[in-house]
Amino acid sequence: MGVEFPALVGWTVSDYGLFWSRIRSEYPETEAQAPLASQVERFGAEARRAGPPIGLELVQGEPNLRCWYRHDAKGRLIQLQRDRFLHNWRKAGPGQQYPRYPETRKMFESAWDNYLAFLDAERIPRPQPMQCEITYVNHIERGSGWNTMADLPNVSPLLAGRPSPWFLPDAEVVVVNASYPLPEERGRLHISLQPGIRNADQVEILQLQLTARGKPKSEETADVLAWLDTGREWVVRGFVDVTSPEMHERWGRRNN
Amino acid sequence: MKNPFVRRGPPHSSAPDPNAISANAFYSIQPLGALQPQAQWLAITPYATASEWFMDSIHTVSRLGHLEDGWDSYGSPALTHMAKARALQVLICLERQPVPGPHVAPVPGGGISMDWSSGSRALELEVLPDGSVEFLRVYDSDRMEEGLIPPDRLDYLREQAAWLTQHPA
Repeated sequence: MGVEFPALVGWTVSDYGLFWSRIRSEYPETEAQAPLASQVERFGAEARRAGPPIGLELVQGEPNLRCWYRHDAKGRLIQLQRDRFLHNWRKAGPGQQYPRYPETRKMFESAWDNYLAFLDAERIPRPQPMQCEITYVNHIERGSGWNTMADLPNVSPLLAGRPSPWFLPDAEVVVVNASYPLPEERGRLHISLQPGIRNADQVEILQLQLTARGKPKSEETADVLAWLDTGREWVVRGFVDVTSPEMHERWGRRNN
Repeated sequence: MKNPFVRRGPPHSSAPDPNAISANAFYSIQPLGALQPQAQWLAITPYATASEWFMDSIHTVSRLGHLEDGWDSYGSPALTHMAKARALQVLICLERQPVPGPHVAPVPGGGISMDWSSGSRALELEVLPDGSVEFLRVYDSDRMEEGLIPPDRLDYLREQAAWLTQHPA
């Protein structure tokens, strides 16, 4: 869950450390990461003018970087770079519940407010959010509803079963990318499904990722949160649409 | 069970050159953001963009994981869970390195070995049954160095890969 904005004027490398001193009790671990590329949803003439994304960064002054502030035991992560503020959550352990949306929303709001207060204290102009983003990542382990690529239609109705007769053998790799516009050009929902291996525990998985991205009505925190509520609704309802009833039954989905 | 994701082909063939112009296609596209930094906390190695040697090696390790006790006719125990997990971890760590494909084989006692060669240099990583990793470097025909790679220093694997490939012709 996060926000993208034009790169902050006056933000320097030392501010990453100063901000950490403010949140260190809640996020005791840090890590440097390569910066994320800008991902802004565009529509109509603006999208046509923008053309395809290119991987070129002109660095003026300090190079951009992304800083992680983590609390592994609590499963919380803040990601910060000059033009991005993201808050992630994950299950801290196998027996723990993933936090529900009202809880994660509250944690995001608290972290965002803390960040804004820090900028005010350092006399750095506040960011002007131009894009909100909410992502759900689901790992479906091999053996839990699928074993080979031929089983994918049982996982997601995005993939039709093979017609009969069928010449081709089972696919070795299948990757699905789909995007859906939100009404009134408020953003898009991007869905991707791909096989891989989870680096941390070397378990083979299907990664089903749903990301809603779009522009809030204004730069006010209330409108940022309102957009995230909409994005979250699209993610949840989109998840139901692109996963099969068999998988819902396996996961014990509740109809509420 | 057969791994469904493995791309079959020559064991050490290189992945297609993404910059190559395809003569029989009107245009070619690259998956957007395949190698871009990601915002997710739990990293994965996607099979769609993994190198061919990586997929072959994952397949081999997976297959070796099904060996039973006595697989070598001399009473060797099966590959241990720790050795299999560490071998996969090693492969994940080296997946983006410009190394050739390794030869992957079981080692009596429950371990697994991975051997690379490049020019006059050879590198062997042996994963022991307890998951620890030993390396052996061979160069200039008969010179050797060996040592242990601590479990918390997997970045050292990348140094080994660099040693293997970045040597004077």
